[in-house]
Amino acid sequence: MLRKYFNLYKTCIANSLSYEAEYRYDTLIKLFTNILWIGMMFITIEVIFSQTQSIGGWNKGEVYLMTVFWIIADEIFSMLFSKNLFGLSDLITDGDLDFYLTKPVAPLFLVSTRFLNIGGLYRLLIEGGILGWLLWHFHFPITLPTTLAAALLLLLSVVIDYSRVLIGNTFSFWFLRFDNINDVIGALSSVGRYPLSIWPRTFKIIFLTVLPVAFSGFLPAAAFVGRAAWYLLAYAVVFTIIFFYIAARFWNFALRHYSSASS
Amino acid sequence: MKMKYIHTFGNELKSIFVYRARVLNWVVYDLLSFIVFPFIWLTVYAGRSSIAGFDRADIVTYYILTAYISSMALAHQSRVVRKDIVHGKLNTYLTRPFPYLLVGTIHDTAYHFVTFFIATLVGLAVIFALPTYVVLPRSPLLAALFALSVILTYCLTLCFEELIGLSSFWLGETTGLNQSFDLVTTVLSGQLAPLAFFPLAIQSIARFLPFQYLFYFPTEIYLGKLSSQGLLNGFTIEGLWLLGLVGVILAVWRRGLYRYDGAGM
Repeated sequence: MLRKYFNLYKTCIANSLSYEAEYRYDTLIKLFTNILWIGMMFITIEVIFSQTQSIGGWNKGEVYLMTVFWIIADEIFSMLFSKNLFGLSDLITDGDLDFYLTKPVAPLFLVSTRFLNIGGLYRLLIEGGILGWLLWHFHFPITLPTTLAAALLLLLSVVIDYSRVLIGNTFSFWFLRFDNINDVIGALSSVGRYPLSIWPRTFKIIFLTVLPVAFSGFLPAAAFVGRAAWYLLAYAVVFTIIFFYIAARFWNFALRHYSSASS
Repeated sequence: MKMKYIHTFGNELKSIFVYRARVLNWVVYDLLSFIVFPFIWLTVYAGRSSIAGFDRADIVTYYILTAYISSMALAHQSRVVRKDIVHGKLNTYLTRPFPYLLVGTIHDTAYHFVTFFIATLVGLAVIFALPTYVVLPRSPLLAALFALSVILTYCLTLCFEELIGLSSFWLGETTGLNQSFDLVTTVLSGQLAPLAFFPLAIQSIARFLPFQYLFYFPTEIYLGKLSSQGLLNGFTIEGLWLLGLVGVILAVWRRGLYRYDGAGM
């Protein structure tokens, strides 16, 4: 059973490589864009910190760290899932989901993993380098417990990103041509690049529960600099499991409402 | 105007109302994109009355205006043009008496006709909800000039979007180009923060490019930060950019058609 899925995933990777080779110029432009995109985020931080020493009790180095953790979490998610989940709305609206439902594998697996953004690997390498430079430049103390906690939170945030995008796109079973929900989710997720302390209390609660966007950048950075209590880590683990479960159940529930436009 | 274009506009309006949730998503997206910045800047303002000539109310108003312009005046035409070229849907237009670029413009305008009402309603609600944080235009003339500059913002973004879309004649996939353009405009248009907050080097670059006319110029007009001479210069240069871009689009369209292979014919 597992072997079948493993082989299938290998084929998906091979197909994605072919696609990447077909559109080489676009891959190069995306790489260039990525550098610009990171530059833009850094410019934002520089502009903010040209007027102040800290925001919400967090200094420039810590905000840089939040941003880079957020970028890495977003990159891992984009590389593995974005091309698939972002196209879910079109699959449902045009009736192309039939193709996935008639295959002898779990539809959620196939719609989530069919395309990989191989070019994301280059970007991830660059971003890893930036993280290394950042740790060196701002003299962040590196300890094993805080590094492991940050790495765990980073992985959990990818699962939360996946679940969030899956839930958003699953609404396409009711609202057709709903693909721009991904832009909404993307805009909302950028909140995770900044300290949670800048928000009023109600927003803080919302960003840690119903709209979980504080997990990608803020929490891993807080854990890395030793400013996240152990119960916050425990909360993140439990919340991720529950949130993923809700997303998967919602998908299964919504699948029953699929009307298959093409058949 | 020929009736066929009025019908095209009407049909597009109907099509927009079929996908109401989609329109709502775009408006929410435009609002969310800017929600974080007022909170950040209000934290920075603690104990200070103004930064680079912007007080607290100015900066909150700045981001509300940015969200407003973003939701009602930013064209999203490039993805449609790319799809039509790559998937061969352009064939339909080439064989009918409908100039493709004009029809695309009518479709996009119909969409913005709808978002104009939604964005204006949301904007008015924000003005009533946050009276101490929102600055109103100092005179009816400034309000009218702001409206004119927003219309020109729409024309400029439409030109940029058409150009990116038409580049698919050569590139095929334009996602990367789209993202690059979005990034450059985000920084150099003042969408991220007022250009006056940026280092002098970036301000100097922005001054020679058309992107500042998308957000910074209209918001400066609204907040009354420009002199009569500044207004005249701004509108003149913006008009020249617009004319130049229209010329480039027509040239690219003509050359691109030679490259078009009509996929699906």
